[in-house]
Amino acid sequence: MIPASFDYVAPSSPREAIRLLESDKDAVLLAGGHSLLTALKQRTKRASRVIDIAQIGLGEVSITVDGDLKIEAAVTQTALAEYCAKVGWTILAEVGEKAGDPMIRERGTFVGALCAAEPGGDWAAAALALDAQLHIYTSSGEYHLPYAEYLEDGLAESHMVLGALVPAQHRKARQGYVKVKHAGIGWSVASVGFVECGEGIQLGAGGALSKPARLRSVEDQFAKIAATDDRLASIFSALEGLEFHGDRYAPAVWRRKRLAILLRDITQAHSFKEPA
Amino acid sequence: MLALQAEGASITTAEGLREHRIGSVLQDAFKACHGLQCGYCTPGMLAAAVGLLQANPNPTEDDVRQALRGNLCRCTGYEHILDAVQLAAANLPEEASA
Amino acid sequence: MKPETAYSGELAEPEGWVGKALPRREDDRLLEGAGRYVDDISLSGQLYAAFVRSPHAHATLRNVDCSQASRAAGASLCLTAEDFKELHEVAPNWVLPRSTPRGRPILAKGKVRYVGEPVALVVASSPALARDAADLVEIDYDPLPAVLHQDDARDVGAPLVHDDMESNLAATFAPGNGGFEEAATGAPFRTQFSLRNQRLVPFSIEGRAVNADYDPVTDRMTLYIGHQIPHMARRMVASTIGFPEHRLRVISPDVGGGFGPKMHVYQEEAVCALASIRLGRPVKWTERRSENVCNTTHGRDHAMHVDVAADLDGQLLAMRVESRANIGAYMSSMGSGIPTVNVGLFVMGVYDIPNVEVDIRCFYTNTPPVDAYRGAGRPEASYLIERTIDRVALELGIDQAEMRRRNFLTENQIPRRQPTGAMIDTGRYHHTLEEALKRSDYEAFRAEQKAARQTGSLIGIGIANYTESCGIGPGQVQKLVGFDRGGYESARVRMTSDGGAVVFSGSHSHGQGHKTTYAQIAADELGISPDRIDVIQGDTESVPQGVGTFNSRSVAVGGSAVKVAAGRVADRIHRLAAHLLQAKPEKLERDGDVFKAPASNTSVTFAEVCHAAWTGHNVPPDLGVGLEETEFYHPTSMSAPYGAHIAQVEIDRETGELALTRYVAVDDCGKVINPLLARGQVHGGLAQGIGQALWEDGMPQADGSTVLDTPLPRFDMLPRFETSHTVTESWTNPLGAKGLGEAGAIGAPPAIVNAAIDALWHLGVRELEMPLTPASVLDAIEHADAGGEP
Repeated sequence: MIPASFDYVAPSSPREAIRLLESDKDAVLLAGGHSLLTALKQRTKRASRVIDIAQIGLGEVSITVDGDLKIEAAVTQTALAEYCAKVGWTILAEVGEKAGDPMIRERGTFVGALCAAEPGGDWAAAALALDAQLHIYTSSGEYHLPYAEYLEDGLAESHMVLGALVPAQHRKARQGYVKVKHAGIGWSVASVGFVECGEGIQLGAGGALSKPARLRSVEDQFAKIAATDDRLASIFSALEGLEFHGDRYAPAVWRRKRLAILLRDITQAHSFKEPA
Repeated sequence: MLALQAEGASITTAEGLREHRIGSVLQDAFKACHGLQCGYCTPGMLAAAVGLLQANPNPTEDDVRQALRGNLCRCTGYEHILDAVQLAAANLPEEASA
Repeated sequence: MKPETAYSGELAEPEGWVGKALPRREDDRLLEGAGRYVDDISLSGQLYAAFVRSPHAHATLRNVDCSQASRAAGASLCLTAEDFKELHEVAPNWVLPRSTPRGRPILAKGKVRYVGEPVALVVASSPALARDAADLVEIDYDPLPAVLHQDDARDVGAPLVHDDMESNLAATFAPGNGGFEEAATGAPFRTQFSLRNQRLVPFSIEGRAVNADYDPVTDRMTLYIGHQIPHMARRMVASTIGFPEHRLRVISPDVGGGFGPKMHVYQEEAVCALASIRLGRPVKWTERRSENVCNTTHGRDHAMHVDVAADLDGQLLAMRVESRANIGAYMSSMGSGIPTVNVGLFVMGVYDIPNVEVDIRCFYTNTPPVDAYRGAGRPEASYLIERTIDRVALELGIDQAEMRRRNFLTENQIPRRQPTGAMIDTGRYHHTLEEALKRSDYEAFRAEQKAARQTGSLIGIGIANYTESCGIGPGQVQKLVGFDRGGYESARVRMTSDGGAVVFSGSHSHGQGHKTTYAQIAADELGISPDRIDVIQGDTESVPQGVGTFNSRSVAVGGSAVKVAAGRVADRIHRLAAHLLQAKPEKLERDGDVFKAPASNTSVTFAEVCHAAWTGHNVPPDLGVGLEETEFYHPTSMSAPYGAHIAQVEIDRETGELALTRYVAVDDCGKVINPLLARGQVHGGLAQGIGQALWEDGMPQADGSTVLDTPLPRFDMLPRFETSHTVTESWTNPLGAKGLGEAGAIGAPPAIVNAAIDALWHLGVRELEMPLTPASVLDAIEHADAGGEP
């Protein structure tokens, strides 16, 4: 399909971007474009104006003085994966091998993927496991917001995400990303990003749920699950109450089971002390 | 992507690959291995393969399959394209990986 | 693939050009971005069309208001059915006797009958403006109850797709020799089961595209269209819009994949042609993917049932097949013949079954029309019989390979007309199966499987001994079944004055490489290198008559036409050379490009002979001027290629995920003209067949729409294929060739499903349906585990 007409503008500062966003309710921000341009082409989304963030100078990935990983909005998935393969937070390098394909990763941004938060998206699951925070910019000020909250509640006011921050504490922790891919499309049908944290583990799930989510109930019961004989059964009960989604190829019931099996495999790869 | 987003970049299409160190080797390999039938996916396959061989001049079979995963072909079943990329990798001139 | 592996199995590098694994001559241009598909062609004054399509599967069309759209920026025209009151529908070309044809209305009139049906056309100065204007067309729909599945369509009281019919039954076909009940009653063994051949979206990478260019000055139209059969497109568009054929030129340039859907004529080409006439300017329409999945024809869609009787050694005694086919909302071009004749004739496969009855019924539903898709009926037939063979074997405890040996037609029984009417020209089924069993290490696998079962690991092996029918003609057969199209193919071979040759063929390649294979055929006849031979196709101005490329007929029929025509030209060259040297033709010697008369020690070159023919200063009266021959080649009969495919799978018991670990294909298409290209055809067909078995699903959603992103095979989803050939030549044409293009799509689904059932039979699983999604496989395992009725 062909998009309906829109204006294109490439501001050179966040302030200018917000001004443009606030002056037109049908304006949208463009990062890598994989989500937005597809929607515009299919006319499932309309935009009067597309605001490209490429000229704002947000292309750096670095480690802050506090040791946190700072990923600016225009950092591509490929650049992030290559960086993390070298410095730590290796779950992001692993997602970089399993998400999309090289062409998508070359242009798609990490922050853009977090904002789009597709149910089958991989980066969101990893970001949740890593306690990622988003650096929000609005006309009334800047602040950090946990990604989990952003995902859950959204943000009503016009804003721009300048980047993401991943805590130093997870840099060298044992972590990984396991994914069952949807045949042909590349999204995940069930995936888990896991990051060991102290005595416990943090789990971000994608694919099977209606939205990527932290599996807090599974995390809380992790040691208990690891100690039972029928791990799958206890994982199923820990997943109670979560909303699963599916399609004809991989229905929700199957995705739930597949996610549970991924989680069981993760418990088997870790050893935990019995609760005191 | 929008065409505008390529502003300032240098663009090479299939028309320019005959002059390209890696591209021309790929073109020869695609022909030798029958890596195209209707030809419609071919410029895309070539572009993706150039990208792969620029980054990784010695790809494994799996590397090739993953790198070209974003390109759909309905005619070839992919195998001859795989052969072509592997043949091209083997025939790359030494300095092409620079 | 190394060049030496191109000559696999019974293929050997030949002396001449036919049989050689030559790289393609078409490739240089395509590799350098010089492919020219319809959308690449823009004409002076070009306008662009966009269609407004029904979002409803079934609705009354109350009002279509074009006023806003007509006033939109850049818009030239907005048309609806009201503008074509005097025109007929797009009539089907194959109308099965006693069927009830309902062709596609040019634009929806009074009612819409499937999601995607074109309702209005907008023409504007750019594709984007056309799309914007199309959004402004206002349409009032009153949704009606829809019927999407054939079993719902056949119910009494089901919504009628066509109000002027009493039911949704479009066509019936019942081949066979009767006697089933008598043979089956009291037979030592009898079983029955149901199986589905799911609807598929063919999904060529290039969608359909049309550029209609009416020139008011000459009153002629040129229609650029990505088409498999340009001459039939000319005839069908001309008759649909009421335009004389002799003033209609059809040009099909490069075509980005066909697979069947690009053989038909649809609403869009007729409407664009009519719009071009009204505007006196070219009107181009390039299909978007969202249109391709819901308007361009779908494939397959049968709900089938088998009842089969055998003796305890597995010898088949009788079979009864019943199938309900879903042909969609309108009878497409071949829509009444594919699910009936092409399925019904071939349900016996390569087996000797004394009594067979077949009952096929086709139903209209509120879904996109269904028509030919790679295999066109033969995949449905092969799937049924190959699954039946395995079913009987497993129930009786007979090895599936052995079961086949016991039931194969033997070489003594062939040529044979099967009780269902299928014509088998040649075949060595035992021979080819043995080859495949050897290559797939069948015995070793069975041993491995036995051991694997001890540990709970699930591996399976499946065989498909498909056959099919290709190379349609001759025409007499087509007439009997209502298929109003030629069964011949045209070839005109002309020498140029400098010793080169041009072959004009009525076939039209959409990836098959005719420019290479036909040059090889002509090269052997003429005794010159293929480099000196150019092959032209696709433009009805250069090739005035032809039939086209479908049904894997191009080599067998089109290639034979080339051989015959080139052979006659070669004969004329020889006789003219003899005349020029004043020698007897039988005394003439040829060494490369030089003809010698040994008696007089004189010689003349090949080019000099050609030059002499076209200047005509010294040509004998019985030859006359020129070196050009036209042949409309009619084969004696269709041919029956066949093969033995063997798939190995491994299934994860916990997740239902299935891995295709190995695929061996031994195909027999008689004489192979170019083994490299032949292999490409097998690979392509296999990819589509595996896609059907494991992932693809074009069945409508609950609202009648088609999913945009059905899972298709991608680069990392297919194994390497182990392909090989046996060679059992056909007597139906002078090349000895059969067809091959559809083989993979026919063999893969039954081989894979058989392998999966083989892997799970011991758990109590009896049936599986395509696509074998992990969820459906897991359901089958869990159902069997729970002690469910097998």
